[in-house]
Amino acid sequence: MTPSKAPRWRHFAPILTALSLGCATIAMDTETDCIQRHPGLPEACGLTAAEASAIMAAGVGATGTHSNSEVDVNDYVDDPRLPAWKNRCMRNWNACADGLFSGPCTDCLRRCEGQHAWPFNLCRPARPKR
Amino acid sequence: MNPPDWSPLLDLARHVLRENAPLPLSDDVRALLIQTAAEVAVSDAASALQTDAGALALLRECARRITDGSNRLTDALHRMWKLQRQGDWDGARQEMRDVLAVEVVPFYRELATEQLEGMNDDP
Repeated sequence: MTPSKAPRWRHFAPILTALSLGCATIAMDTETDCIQRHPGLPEACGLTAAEASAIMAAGVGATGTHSNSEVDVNDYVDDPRLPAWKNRCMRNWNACADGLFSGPCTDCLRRCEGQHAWPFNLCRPARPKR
Repeated sequence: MNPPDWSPLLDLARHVLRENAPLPLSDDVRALLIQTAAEVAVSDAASALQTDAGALALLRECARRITDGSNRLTDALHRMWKLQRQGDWDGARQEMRDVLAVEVVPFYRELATEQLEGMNDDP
């Protein structure tokens, strides 16, 4: 299949992921609201993980709402609406996007969603830098 | 160690255990169960495969070790990374030691050991 004939559905993969995770709507409201509604899935808001983190960090700095100075804006916050296995999949995908895992992050997320277990053979923790 | 691909086993487990389909004990399935049992440190798989009930129990146990180990390592890694960011290297190392104290699956042990050894040069 030539690239020009590649399925267009690939461009909607992040949206499909969000929908498959039980997110009923992806309203195009503020970026902050979108990020908070889709923790660990910045692609659902058309953002990279780094962009989402920067937006949240800027929001925290402006409003001073964080009382715990140790809260890391990169930390994935479990969505209580999701089962534990889904949150683990999303948490690992988020970490993978941040470079803490080596491998095809989105492929691993897909595999995790199907098997309810992170495929450590495909996406293993990055070797510690020396 | 070549990373084991547990997709076929987990796909089979999903089909049989989650969707309540019968376990097809073909030669391929028997071979898959024996191989996976070795990879997750389950002994005496051959005996288990002599009965349908034994084969089903073997499938369930293999899937459990894969999934439990994945969950354990996932949770420990995230605690470890957070402790590293906070500069608590003793705490971070202990997370991997705690995994190694209970984990029997060789591949997961290898990953935990790699992370632990990677902190040898840290304070």
